[in-house]
Amino acid sequence: MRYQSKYETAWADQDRPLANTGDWRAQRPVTNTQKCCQCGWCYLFCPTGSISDKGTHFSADLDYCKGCGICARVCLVQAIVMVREEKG
Amino acid sequence: MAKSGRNELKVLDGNKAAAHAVLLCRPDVVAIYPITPQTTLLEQLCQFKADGLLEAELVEVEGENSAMSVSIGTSAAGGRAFTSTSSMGLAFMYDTYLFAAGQRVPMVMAVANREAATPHTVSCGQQDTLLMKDCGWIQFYVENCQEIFDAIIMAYRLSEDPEILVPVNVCYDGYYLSHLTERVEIPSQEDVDHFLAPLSQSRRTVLDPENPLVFASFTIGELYAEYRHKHSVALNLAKTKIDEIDAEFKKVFGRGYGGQIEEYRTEDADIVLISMGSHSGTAKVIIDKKRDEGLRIGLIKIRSFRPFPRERLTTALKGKKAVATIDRSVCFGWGSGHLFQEVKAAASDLETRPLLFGFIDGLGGSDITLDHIERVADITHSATQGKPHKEITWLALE
Repeated sequence: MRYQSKYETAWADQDRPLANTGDWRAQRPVTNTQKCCQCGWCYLFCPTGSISDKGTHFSADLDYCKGCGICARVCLVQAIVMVREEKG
Repeated sequence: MAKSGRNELKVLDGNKAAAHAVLLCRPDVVAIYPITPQTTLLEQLCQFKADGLLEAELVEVEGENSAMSVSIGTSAAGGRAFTSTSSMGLAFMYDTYLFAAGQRVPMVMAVANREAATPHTVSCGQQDTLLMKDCGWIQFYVENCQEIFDAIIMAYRLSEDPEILVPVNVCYDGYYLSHLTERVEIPSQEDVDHFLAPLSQSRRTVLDPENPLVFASFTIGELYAEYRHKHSVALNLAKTKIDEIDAEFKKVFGRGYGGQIEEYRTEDADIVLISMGSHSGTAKVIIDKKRDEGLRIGLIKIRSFRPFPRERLTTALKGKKAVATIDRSVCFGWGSGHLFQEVKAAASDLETRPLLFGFIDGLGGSDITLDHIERVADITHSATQGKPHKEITWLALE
């Protein structure tokens, strides 16, 4: 039997998300790191808590981002654009 | 492991016998909502608490859904949980009952079996737990008050076994067992501690602030199949564990029940009756009577309905001429009882299938009498003599 989890059932640790809830996203946010002024506005608005401060800019964790586009809409300096997800 | 402490003899009804077993198993948390016919079990545990005998935290819950939720939390945190219910109380905890099984949290829940409304009643029937047979719990059905007591102790050994980790029901017929008194042997605390001691060494995944984990995380796809498969493997493994634990219990306490099934005078039998629950005792009386009359007849008592003892049952039924089940439940859409359906499925493993009849009786708390069981034996015997009979018979109505 091919098993992937070390757990008997639905336990998950921080090393490995059990479910990738960003799986069915149709578009993803892409941050222009030069433009980003690190105001944190996108971080505050993100409804899934997927955005974090990367030190030089803010960007989304694509395991969880559902691609709603709110971050791009609220960005004060238009540093975020939504890019269509394509299979490949 | 030898028995060292002294037995105490008591006259107890089934609910009190269950409470005495729970006391000796030293649970950490007991969360129960009262419902007839289980209520006096909760009353007895409250009495133990008031008397300073029960160390467990007693949680006064607002319903069965909360009772099960508290039990899940207890077990997930590494504690030992006990709860109990009946009928609509079980229905009310349906989602948390599923959750406990799927999340593989060990615990023991006693169920004083009662019909599941409607028609509304508080009387005995096994419909309530048999509706829940496919939720992933282990379900035991017992014959008398001593067996309730013993089954609860064995249930903890099974449930908390690191290779099993499946919650366990100990089901006993409401009133016939929950409220009728019998002689019950109570072993010493020392002996029960000793019997459960291997569990203190076992490690299972628990909630721990030092090592945070997501509990019951969202799961899809292949990983979902993986957890279902692991659960299914555990249920299958439980079959041999049940037999082993029973054998060990017999060594320590002097009482054994055969594990998954109990066979009574089946060895050279042509006809086998199959029962589950309190009427197994009544059936044994008829077996003895018919044996005295020269009929080669025996009884199989199903103790573990989930996992279903398919292998042991087919071994026991090999070469038999006719088999009759006595059900205290109705499997809608099959027009039979649940036991009949399962036995019929298991019988397909046999090269030569015996004649197979299902008898439904004892619904709504009515008695499964000696006369009724004798009719079962007579009808089944006649069938082996070439007198055909229909597959399903409702004994109280025909």
